[in-house]
Amino acid sequence: MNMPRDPLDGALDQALDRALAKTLTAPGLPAGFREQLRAAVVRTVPEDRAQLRAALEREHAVQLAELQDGYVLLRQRTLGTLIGAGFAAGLAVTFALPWLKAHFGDNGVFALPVIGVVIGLVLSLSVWWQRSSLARSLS
Amino acid sequence: MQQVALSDAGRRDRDIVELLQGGSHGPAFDLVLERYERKVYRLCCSLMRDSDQAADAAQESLLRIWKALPGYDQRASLSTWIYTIARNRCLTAIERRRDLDSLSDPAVEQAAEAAVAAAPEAGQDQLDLLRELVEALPERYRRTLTLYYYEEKSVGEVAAMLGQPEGTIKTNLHRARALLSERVCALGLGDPKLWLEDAA
Repeated sequence: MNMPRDPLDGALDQALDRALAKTLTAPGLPAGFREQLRAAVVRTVPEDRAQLRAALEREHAVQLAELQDGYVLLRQRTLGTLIGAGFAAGLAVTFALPWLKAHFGDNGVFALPVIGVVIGLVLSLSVWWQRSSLARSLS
Repeated sequence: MQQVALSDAGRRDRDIVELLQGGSHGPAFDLVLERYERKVYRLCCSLMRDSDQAADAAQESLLRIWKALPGYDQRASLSTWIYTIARNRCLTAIERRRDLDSLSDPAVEQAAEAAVAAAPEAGQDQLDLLRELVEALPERYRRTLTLYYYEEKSVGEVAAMLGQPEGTIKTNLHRARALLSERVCALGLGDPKLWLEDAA
């Protein structure tokens, strides 16, 4: 059951409200607050920049290492292919030349370069076709 | 994705959000400081009781806001986001302080309330007494009442700062005032004239 409210309570509430408004005044910022904050903010910036730079340098180093590994691998493969192709060509000429001379006479010597040119043209055309179709699909 | 209705604070802070979207974090933080620096400090004061600790908490909160500002994703209004960071910072500091001392022990709080409820000392200023009575209120009432007067009696602002619904704030204010009136009357200081003279 609610107690009957004293008519003076309203007046007391109002008086307390005024007293509270006077007592609980908003505190102002302490002296040097903004300056301290600015200094703290400035201190964080170089730290963040240094961290960012270090992270970027690490990332760059990893990418560079990957690139170098890939490049060295490519060079090794290219060199291997060239040496292999050289030996294979020498071997082919050693075996094919007597057979060509026997069948085509002295003109048989020219047959090998012609075959090489034909094979080269076929390879070039196929590579060109692949690349152009890749370019078409990308566009 | 959660959509946030644009409140007054949201509209007011649109310029800050636009600066952030444009990558101008420095100027955006300047505006944040201009608008929220004092409010964050007052919120910290109301939560921490001690002004030095409140200043430290406010500094740390604003520093954290500066660092997190580029990642602000607008899922909550800027003011809500700022106040949440400040509140969390204060609550962490309060938890840390609780580990260090036992001021928040219920027994100690009761003893403090009993001391306040004792007869006022001769010559004690009415407003000092009122301040002590406010300090002796239960924590949720004290915070709400203190912030309400700090924020010039804006229930909406107090609700935003404490992260509570306005209805809860109004209820806490009503109960805080009722408790204060009750204690004032118990001390024999229920005559409104006594307070009007001192508050004038």
